[in-house]
Amino acid sequence: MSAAPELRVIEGGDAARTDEELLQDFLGGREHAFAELVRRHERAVRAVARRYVAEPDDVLDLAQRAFLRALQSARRGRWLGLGRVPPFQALVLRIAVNLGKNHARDRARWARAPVETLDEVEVPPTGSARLERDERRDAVRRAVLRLPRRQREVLTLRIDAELSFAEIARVLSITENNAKVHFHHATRRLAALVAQDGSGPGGRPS
Amino acid sequence: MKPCAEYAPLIAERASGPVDPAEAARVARHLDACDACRAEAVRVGELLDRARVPDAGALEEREAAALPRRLAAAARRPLPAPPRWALALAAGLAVAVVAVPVELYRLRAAVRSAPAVALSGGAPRGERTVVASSDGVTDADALADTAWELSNDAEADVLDQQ
Repeated sequence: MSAAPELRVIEGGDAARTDEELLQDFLGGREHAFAELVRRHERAVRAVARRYVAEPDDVLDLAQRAFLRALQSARRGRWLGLGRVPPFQALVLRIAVNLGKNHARDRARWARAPVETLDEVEVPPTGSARLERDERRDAVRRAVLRLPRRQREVLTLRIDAELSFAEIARVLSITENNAKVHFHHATRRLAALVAQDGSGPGGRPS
Repeated sequence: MKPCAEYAPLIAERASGPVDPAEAARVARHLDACDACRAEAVRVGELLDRARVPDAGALEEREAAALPRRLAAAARRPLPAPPRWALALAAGLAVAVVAVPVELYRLRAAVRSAPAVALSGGAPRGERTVVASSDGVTDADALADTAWELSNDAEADVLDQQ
């Protein structure tokens, strides 16, 4: 039988504790600990969610589900005595990416152009420079979703969730060098897609 | 003009967010001296800027402020109980995990000892040599019994075929 988790008090409060310590605290009965974990990672999780969903309510819903599922996975891993439960940040971001992809896939079943649809809201027929810039921006964001899976994951974790390459490597269970290589390919591919669509700097969206 | 192959990946990494300070300084020194790489830095910087997701709106930020408290409350609730069929399946698997190897072991030991019994021409049960662990007399006797029964069954089969 495993011993009950030991609760320790460290000066500096929750902010000074690692994710794993906070998780341990929460599982040992300290409820604030989970709130601190959420506070720490919710911005990155919401940024990942915004890549796939447009409505604020959907973003928040996806973020909540990601946190609760990550908690479930961590709990289950501990109950089963699995030695290698991924770090909480990796767990929650990986789940957020998967939920986002599922959301995009489900929308694709209901609409012919799922991810694009929201971006293609009625654009007034005007030639203002600002509108053109916005259109180009939307076209580039749509092009991100056309990248191969791993390249897209690495790119979005870098520019949306603002993770370091070491963190991206942990989230995706790859090496840091591999993450950099995928990122490099992603930027080159994205530039090619954008050039093909004519939505690059100075270009017009197709 | 093409950017230098050695620096192109570093330029993109630097344009996408914080990188190792020593590496960032090395790239900065190179950019001071290389027009092609400087142009590449501007181009990739614009591209990644356009590729970023939009910032959260005021509505999302307002709702997100309540997220930690709301999630901590939701997390307090125990996990939903697994369905009954899952419990039954788990119990069945647990039994199978224990029972199957034991039964296999018994059968293997019995089969190993069966020819010896047949060759011995039905020697008294107590004198048979049974390949078994040194768990104790009781186990050895039980295995001997099984072997004896199996050999009898085999003889019965042969007789049936005749």
